[in-house]
Amino acid sequence: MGFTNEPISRRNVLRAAGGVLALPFLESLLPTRAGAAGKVAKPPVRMGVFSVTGGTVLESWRPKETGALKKMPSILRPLEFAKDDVMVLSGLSQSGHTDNLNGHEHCAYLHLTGAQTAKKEAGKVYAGVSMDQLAAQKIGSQTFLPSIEVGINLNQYSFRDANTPVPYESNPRFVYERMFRGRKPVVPNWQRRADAGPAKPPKTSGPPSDEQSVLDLVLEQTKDLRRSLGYADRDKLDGYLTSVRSVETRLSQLEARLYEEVLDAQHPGPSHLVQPGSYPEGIPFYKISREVESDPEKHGEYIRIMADLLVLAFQTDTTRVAVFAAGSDEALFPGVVTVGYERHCHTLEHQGNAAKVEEADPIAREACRQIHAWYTALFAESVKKMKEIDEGGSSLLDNSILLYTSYMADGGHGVYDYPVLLAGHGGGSLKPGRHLAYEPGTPMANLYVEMLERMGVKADGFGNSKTGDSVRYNGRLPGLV
Amino acid sequence: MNLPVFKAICVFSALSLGGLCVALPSPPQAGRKPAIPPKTKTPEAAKSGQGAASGELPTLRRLTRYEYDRTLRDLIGIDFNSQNAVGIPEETVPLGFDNMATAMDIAPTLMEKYMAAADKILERLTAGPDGKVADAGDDRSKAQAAHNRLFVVRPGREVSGRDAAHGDLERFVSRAWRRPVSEAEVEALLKLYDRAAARNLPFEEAMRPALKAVLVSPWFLFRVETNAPAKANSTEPVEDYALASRLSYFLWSSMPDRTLFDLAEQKQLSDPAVLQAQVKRMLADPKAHALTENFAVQWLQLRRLPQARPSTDFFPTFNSDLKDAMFDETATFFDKLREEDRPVLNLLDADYTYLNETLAKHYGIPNVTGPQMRLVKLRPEDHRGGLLGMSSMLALTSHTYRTSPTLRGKWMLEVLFGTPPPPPPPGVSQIVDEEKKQKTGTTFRALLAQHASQPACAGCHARIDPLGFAMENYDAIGRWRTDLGGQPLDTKAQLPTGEKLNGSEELKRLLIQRKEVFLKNMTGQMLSYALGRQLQPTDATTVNAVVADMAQNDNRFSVLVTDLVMSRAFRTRQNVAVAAESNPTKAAPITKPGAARKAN
Repeated sequence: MGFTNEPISRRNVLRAAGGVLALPFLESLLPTRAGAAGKVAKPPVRMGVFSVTGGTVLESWRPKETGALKKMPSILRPLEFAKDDVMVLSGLSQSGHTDNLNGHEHCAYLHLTGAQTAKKEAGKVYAGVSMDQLAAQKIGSQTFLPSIEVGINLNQYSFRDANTPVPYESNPRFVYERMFRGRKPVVPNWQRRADAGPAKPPKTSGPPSDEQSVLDLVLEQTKDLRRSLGYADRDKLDGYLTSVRSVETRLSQLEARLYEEVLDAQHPGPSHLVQPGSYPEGIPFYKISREVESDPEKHGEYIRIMADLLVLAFQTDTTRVAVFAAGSDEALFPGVVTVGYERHCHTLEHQGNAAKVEEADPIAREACRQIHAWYTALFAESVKKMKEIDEGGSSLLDNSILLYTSYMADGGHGVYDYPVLLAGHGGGSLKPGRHLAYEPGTPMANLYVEMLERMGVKADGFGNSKTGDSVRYNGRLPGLV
Repeated sequence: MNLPVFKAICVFSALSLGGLCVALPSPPQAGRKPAIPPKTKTPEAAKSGQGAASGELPTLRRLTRYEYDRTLRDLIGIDFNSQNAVGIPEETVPLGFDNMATAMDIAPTLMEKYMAAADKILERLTAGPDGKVADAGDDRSKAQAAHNRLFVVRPGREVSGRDAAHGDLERFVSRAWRRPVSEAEVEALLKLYDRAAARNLPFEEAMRPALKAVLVSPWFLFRVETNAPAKANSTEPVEDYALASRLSYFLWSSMPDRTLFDLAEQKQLSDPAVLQAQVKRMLADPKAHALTENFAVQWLQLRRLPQARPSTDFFPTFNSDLKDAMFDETATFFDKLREEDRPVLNLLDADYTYLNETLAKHYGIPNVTGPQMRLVKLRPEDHRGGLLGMSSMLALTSHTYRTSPTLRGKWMLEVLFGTPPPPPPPGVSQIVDEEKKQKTGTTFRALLAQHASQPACAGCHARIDPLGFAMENYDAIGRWRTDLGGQPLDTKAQLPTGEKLNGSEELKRLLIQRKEVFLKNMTGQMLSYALGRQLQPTDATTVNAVVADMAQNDNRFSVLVTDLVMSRAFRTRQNVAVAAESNPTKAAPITKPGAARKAN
């Protein structure tokens, strides 16, 4: 059974949209614009983070030479076919300080925030806005969902602001349902959209939908309640208020977007929908995590399906920002790890790392290498799929920036010299096929500034790119293009 | 400024600890920048000198996933697993329990899930023209009953649709919001009904938007305690309806029942004698199983048991059956403390436990057959009794193939004494691999000693490890052993105080000698859970008073719970200044939750 076992009729679509579309689309009213021809459409840039657990084994990850990529190191070998589409960046590090966090939290809180300080205090977390959430806040209103965050994330990577962690959706079915509630997967015809300009949906002068009225009333209640609260409680309630508003905003934009999709469906572009595999319904979370953590085959299936959902999200322009926390430090890897006798990833991470590489247990280190080669093979499948999706003269991979990395630099909670690989051409804003080595200690935050800029988010600085202990290159990464 | 529970406890219990547990300040870290500055005040707050910076704590608490499901069960009458149905996640717990107000957010994705959950529930409750709910599988009869409770007034010849809606809604909303509601509030909801009814939808479908609004309202999703502006900045008794919710969410993790609503309506609940009687009644109710499922499971860290590391490669019997039995032993033990009102010190030592056949075999205890857990009298040679002899705790603190004295010691410091050691400093090296040590002929213990002698590690390991060494007679899945694959076991340990002990029995005796540390910690943990916040140094008064009273009453479970409920901390609240805007004047309440239930 797949995700779309229930055929989505247009009636269903309209109904599920909460009656937003008070008037049915009259197909005869559709504008039949002759392609005003001229320029080739330029699809938007998408940004995805594919972050695996457990750091990496750097000597099997980093190419020996800088410049053009030659033979890929063993962990990256599954990406050999895409050598011209990926670039390896080395030397990037985190230098933030944390307080009251364990080794994994230390790395997780800094991972996408590039924060200079992070901590837990009095039941509250402090980090900084993460790069994905900043992008979502700045450009998220252009798509159905501002961003998606998925995976079994036992740690915390994404933060809406310094003390608001963003939950990760761990059940693939709910990821799908969230993306396609009230709509069905349609591939945008970018050329049509470019030629026609933003479509003006037929006026639906009807009253707001029930869903919107519910939210309006709830907003009123919230404002009333707010007036009787002290400052600390107001802070709490404001988070709720923001969430209600964001749902409302989404609803109010749904109509125009659905209209575009109806037009696209009528005038399809060259791109064919790549549907993700299936995932059983009604499977409780603990079963998912138990299976994933005990059986590499299920684990691989899980990663594959989540990654497919991200590809689908990008292809259908459901969102342009996605983070996938792939893997689990707690997983067992029988079959993937073929050396020694330990199969527990977390234990291997620790045994395979030490203050000095040569003091680490070589067998455990080889096991870690095997695990990371396994992760790369799964990531490479997504790269391949995106490379094959034609968006009209350019592939989805051409129009994307995928960051393949880990929340730790190595399994010993390391923060120096992260594994960093960018896949995709960022719509022409990257020149892949190379290994760039940056000065040791260059902040990861510099990379985030570069990625954000390519997403249309101007950020003079991000995290500790300009304020930390180790400012490099004036907070930028030269030479990416 | 409030402190994590363990620091607060240590502040007032350090003297009695005799060095077993000492508050451990984070080691000074050279070259570190000062911590994040306190959150800047809002402009209004800065002006009036109030706000978060003056130490005001949030009291607004979102229902946890567990509370949300149970509240829906009691409000509507159907079982709803929100995690499976719409993916409402378990709370991430920065520190302490998952119900801490400071940590509770509603992200936009969560709001969408609450909306989806309301849709799914109402869908199950809406009946067709024949008055029968759509098939909901096994739960059909429950759903039908829930439907009949929700839709009492039906539109008909005598009753207009709007009147019926009014009747049904006002009963429902006051219970859902756990307080009296005003006519204006009901009227606002009715407008949603009107809009839907204007489209000629069948009555029950037309009710959906209004019912949905009730279920996604902040009044439902949050536990709200409002302020009396006239008495700003004073400590005031918690008003009766709020007290009913405090009580029911503490003991049941759910909404108040009809009795509590009635007593709140009559303003009797705050009467000490009434309150005490209610605690007794509620503890005897099966719903109080929530204290085990929610409080004890979190406190004792049992949630981690399914992910315990010992692998079946090394321990073939450590399958999910055995794990479940381990979990059930501890859960049943705690549950029976409540049901039979036993002394809570039984958690440290007892001559009984609860076993089924699987677990009895695991322990080598004869004559227990069948899958159900039952009371088993223990003999000294069983080496069981109390938490330290339970394989749940022993397994969840072990590694894939071996025990971890450090993790066991850490568990004891954290769970039994409330004094968790700080996380290891970043960049410390790990213990080298088992194989290597076998080659070099060094024992694991010697390696650990070597590791623990590094200056950065010594301070903490000296406190942590001895507790674990004394427990070495239990293997990684909690079986009793007397040697280590032919090698002798070393269960000798020396505490930082210089005291020496050998083996788990001596450790247990030592813990019982210092039972006050344990009792203060357990009391503090439960107080923190009851209040949904971390403890502050001033809470020491409450904890000390409760522990003193327990000592007079054989440390019985009910005394602990009753004393916490009767404490000033539980029955009063800090009335804070409301923010600058004026307080909305509410119309006189018309419907009381208790009265509503009577109409059912």
